[in-house]
Order: sequence, then structure tokens, then C-alpha cells
Amino acid sequence: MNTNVKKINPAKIKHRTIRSKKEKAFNVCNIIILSLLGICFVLPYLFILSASLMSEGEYLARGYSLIPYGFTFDAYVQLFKYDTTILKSLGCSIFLTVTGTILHTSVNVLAAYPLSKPKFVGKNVLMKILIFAMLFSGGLIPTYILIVNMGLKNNWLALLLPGALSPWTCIMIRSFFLSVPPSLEEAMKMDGANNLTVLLHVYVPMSVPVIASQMMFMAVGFWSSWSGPLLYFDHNHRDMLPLAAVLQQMLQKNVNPSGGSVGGDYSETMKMAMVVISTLPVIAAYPFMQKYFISGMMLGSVKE
Amino acid sequence: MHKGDPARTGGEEPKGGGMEKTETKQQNAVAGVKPEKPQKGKGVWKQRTTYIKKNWGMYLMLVPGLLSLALFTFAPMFGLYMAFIDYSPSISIFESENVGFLWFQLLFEDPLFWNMIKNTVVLSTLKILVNFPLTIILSLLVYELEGKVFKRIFQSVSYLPNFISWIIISGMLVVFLDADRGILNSIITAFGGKPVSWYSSPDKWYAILTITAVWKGLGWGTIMYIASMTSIDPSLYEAAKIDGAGKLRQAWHITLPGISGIISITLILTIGKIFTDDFEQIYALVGENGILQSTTQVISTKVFSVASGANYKDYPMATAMGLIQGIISLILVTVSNKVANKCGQTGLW
Repeated sequence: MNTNVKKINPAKIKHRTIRSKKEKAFNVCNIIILSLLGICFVLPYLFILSASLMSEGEYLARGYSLIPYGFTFDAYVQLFKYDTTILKSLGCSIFLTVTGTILHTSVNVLAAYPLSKPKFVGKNVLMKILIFAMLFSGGLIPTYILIVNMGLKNNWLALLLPGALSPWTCIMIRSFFLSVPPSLEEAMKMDGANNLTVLLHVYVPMSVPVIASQMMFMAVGFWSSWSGPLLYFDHNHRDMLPLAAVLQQMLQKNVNPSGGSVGGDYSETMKMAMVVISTLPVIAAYPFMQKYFISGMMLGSVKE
Repeated sequence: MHKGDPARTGGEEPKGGGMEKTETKQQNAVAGVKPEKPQKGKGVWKQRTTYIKKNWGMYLMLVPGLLSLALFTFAPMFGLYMAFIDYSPSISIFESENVGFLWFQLLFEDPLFWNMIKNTVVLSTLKILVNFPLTIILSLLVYELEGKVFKRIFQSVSYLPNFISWIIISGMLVVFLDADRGILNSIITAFGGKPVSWYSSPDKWYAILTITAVWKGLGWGTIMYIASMTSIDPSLYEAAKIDGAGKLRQAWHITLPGISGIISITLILTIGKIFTDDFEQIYALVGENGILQSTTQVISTKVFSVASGANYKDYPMATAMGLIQGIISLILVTVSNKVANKCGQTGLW
């Protein structure tokens, strides 16, 4: 498992001291190409930021631009004044992200522990069940009807309970647990520690990279979830929608010019302010998340 | 290994390589397959019960996860029966009239359904054709890059879109595609062209969906390749340089063969997902836009429209659609994984 990623050896990184003119030219070209590409990656953020800071009049006169003509924070002020539910939906997003991430992480870590025990009775069957669950599902309609019949419509549990055990995440954490040396555990068990103590004091601390990376993906997922909330919260519970779902509603008139009727009358600059507000937490957390990229990208780790 | 393990002390002690085999046999027994020697089976069962009794705490740990899986993943699978009935919300689906394969028959006769399948396959293929080679080229360029600071900055910037949700990208796309004030139309008119109303021109959307998918996934896709490039033996490059090989030849003869394993497995697994559509992307970018349907409607977006709409009459049809897609996807992914394993590569499982 995990051979492709973990092999990075700093001593092996090339040192090319002899450089020909050709190589120098290549490097310059390379930097130019990648800089242009980098600009393509960055431009969209700059455009939305600039649009959110434009005054309404300047926007109507000039359209979208990289320079925020008539610089003002009006759009942000307007957004919160015009629609008091925005502040609430910000709260909903935070609540959903925090609760969801904690709940799903706990469920996956708990399930990964027994599955990592070589002698665990039922392990192989459970692994097969997990892989099947990863590949096939009942589909949206049966799931939707089931959740409605359980009385979970307009309930946060409709978003938190399904998918609490993610086969992919669980198997990823499990494969990390497999590499924890059993000696520590044995010593603790000798002193009478139970499985939960061992999990929390040995396995979890030693698997911080993989758990952190999985938490990060979960948190990003919850923060940007919109289809679930739109499906399970009806029109009378609009104040329960998280930011991403509100944004989806706001943009309906833009993406569907012929028939968009939902989503209220927001000015374009207010919409862009909303896009910035929804993006900001992800970008702010991004430098901290980068640490865990590699461990979150283990391919083929499902195998022992 | 686990010296203190109660199961160990209970019975036979398999050693070394034999352990895996014994275990599989035991698990087969659990799964309902008859163990080879029934007279031994009793001992195994007893051993197993002792293990479960001693380690009940570990089984407790599995309860929340399995409960969620059973309720929200496996229980809805029984609901797939809905694809075979005349649905009415007032009575239980198992008491409703069974119509056999009527919905499937209707679907197969419906050109709209075939169009959704076409869109799914065309979009997946376009994304593979554009994204796959571009990712490899970009990985090579980044790998060859000298200057650590620039490299780090570029990598950070290129990975970021992967974390940006499709809804936010939808907002960004409006900036570019807005008919009156969008960037693209300003550029077009500046060069004397006629502005395009992007959100009502279906023929443009295969390209738009492909480009946005590439923008989001390109940088992230390079992680695996670059990581596996760093494990190539540097002395190979030194030798090639002495032989006078330029960068291009080095890339072709050393770097690419060095990562061929990961390239082939990625390709196989990506092809296995050709029948899976990207709901998040399409529904976020075009929503319920009816004008674009001929190129943007796929099964998952249609099913979502039905689920969020009020007309329960469409539920069985939508379930049937989902079932067809689910089964074909399951087969394709399983086959591609088998192929990856056969090629000596590590598949997903």
C-alpha cells in the first residue's frame, strides 16, 4: 500500500549543478508558461472580489472588471441589511460544518479500529460490505422517500446521519491504523486499558495526518453542501439553509435566464459579495490544510 | 503480533504466511460458505464466540457506523423496488401494483433518456481526453521547475480550485458568461464580434463544462504524478545528461516510463467512471435551465429535479433511471478495478 507517495526521500531530490544554456532557456520558458497558467487559476477569484467591491452604478456602467471602480463595501452592508437570514445561514453553515465533521470523524475512526485488527471476527465480511457500499447505492429517490418517511424532513439529522460512515474515509484511516506497531497497545492492555483507551491514546495520536486530512475534506464538503439542504428543507424553512444553498438560490436567475423565479432580488454586486463570503473561510483555512494533502491522497491504500 | 489476544490463546496458532489463509477460511464460514472440514468447524465457531465475548467493546464501536450504513445506504436499496411499481405515496411500495419493466421500456423508447446517456458519456470522454494529457504535461513541467519558492506558490495556487465548491465556481462563471456585462462578451465585442448569450446556447456547454472541470481538477491531479516522479532514481538523469539527452528526451525516456504504472492505473480507473456523471458541477452551473437541456441534462440532474419537484408520479421513472446508471457504473468500476489489478497495479481494492 501507499508506495507511490511515501517514498519521497529528500536526499534523492535532484541537484543539477551543471546547467547548459539550453537548460536555462527551458527553465525560463517553463516559468513563463506556468505563470500564465497560474494567472488563469487566480483570475476568477480576483474578478469576484473586484465585483463585490464595485459600486452598483459603476458595475451597471462598466460591467465586470479587474479594477473595483467606485470602491465601496456597500454590497456587503446591503447584503446583510436586505436579507437578515444571511447571518442566520452563516450560522447554519458553521453549525453544519462543525457538527458534521466531528460526528462523521468519530464514527469513521471508531469503525476503523476494529477493522484494523487482523484477528477481528467478521472483518472480511465487513470490508466487503464497505466496498459494496462505496460502489452502489439505492439512489436519490428511494433515499429521499425513506428520509421523509422517517420524519426527518426539515431536520438537521437528514444531513448529518446519512453517510456518517464513509467507506472510503474509514478504509483510509484503517490502513493507517494497520501500520501502528502493536507493542504500545500490548503494553497498555497489560495495564488493563480497554480498547477505547488504546484507540484514543495510541492509534489516534499516531494517525493525526490521515485523520486531519479526512476531516479537512469533510469540513470542505459540509461547508459547500447545498443539494442536501435544498432537498430536505422546504420553502417554509428557508432560514435553515446554509450559505452555499442560499448562494445557489441567488444565482438561479443568472444561470437560468428564461425561468429563474426563486431566490429574491439581489443585485449582482451583492451576489458577488456572497460568493466572496462563501469562499473566504476555505481560502483562510487553506494554508493550514496544505500540510495534510499528501496523506489524503493515498491511492491504492484500500489494499493491505 | 497480538500476544495478549484472547483468540490466540483459545486455539490453534497460525504462523506467518499461513495466517491470511486461515483467516479467509474463517471469514468464508461467517459469510455462509461451508468450511472445508465440518468437524473442525465447531471449534472455530467456539473460538469465534469467545473472541466476540471478550472483545464486545470493539463490536460496540462499529454500531454507529453500521447503523448509518444500514439505514441510509442499504435500506434505500430495497426502495429500488419502486422502479417496478405504480407508485402512490399513500400506500406502501410493497403493496403497490407491480408493473414489471414498464418504466424501463418507456425509458428505452424515450429519446430524452438516450440524450442524457449521450451527454454523460460525451462529457466524461471530453474530460478524460483533455484533462488526462494536460495533467501529465503539467506534472512534467512542475517537476522540472527550478526555484523552490515559485514551485511552492504555483502548486498551492493550482491545488486550491479543488477545494472551491461548484456553487462558487458557478458565481465565477457568471462573471465570465453574463450576456450583458460578462468578461467574455466584452472581449468578443472589443474585437468586433457579436456577443453570445451563453446561458441559452446549448452547443457551447460541452466545452464550458469541460473547461471548468479542467480548471478545478487539473492542479490537484498532478499531486499523484509529481509524488511518484520524486521517487525516480536521480542517477538515471545524470547518465542521460552525460549521453547528451535534452529535457524532452529525459522526460520521454526516464520520467514517463518511471510513472507509467500510476498513469495506467489512473487511466483505467478514470475510464471505469465514464458512466458516472458530475451532478454537483452540472446542477450548480446550469440549475434548471431548460434551454440548455439538450447538452447539459444527465441522469443525476434529472433525478434531482424529480426529487425536489412535487410530482411524485415521476418517482418510479427516476428510480429506474438511477438504477440503470447505478448498475452500469457498478459493472464498469468493478471491471476497471479488475483490469488494474491484473496489470500488476494496485486497484482501488
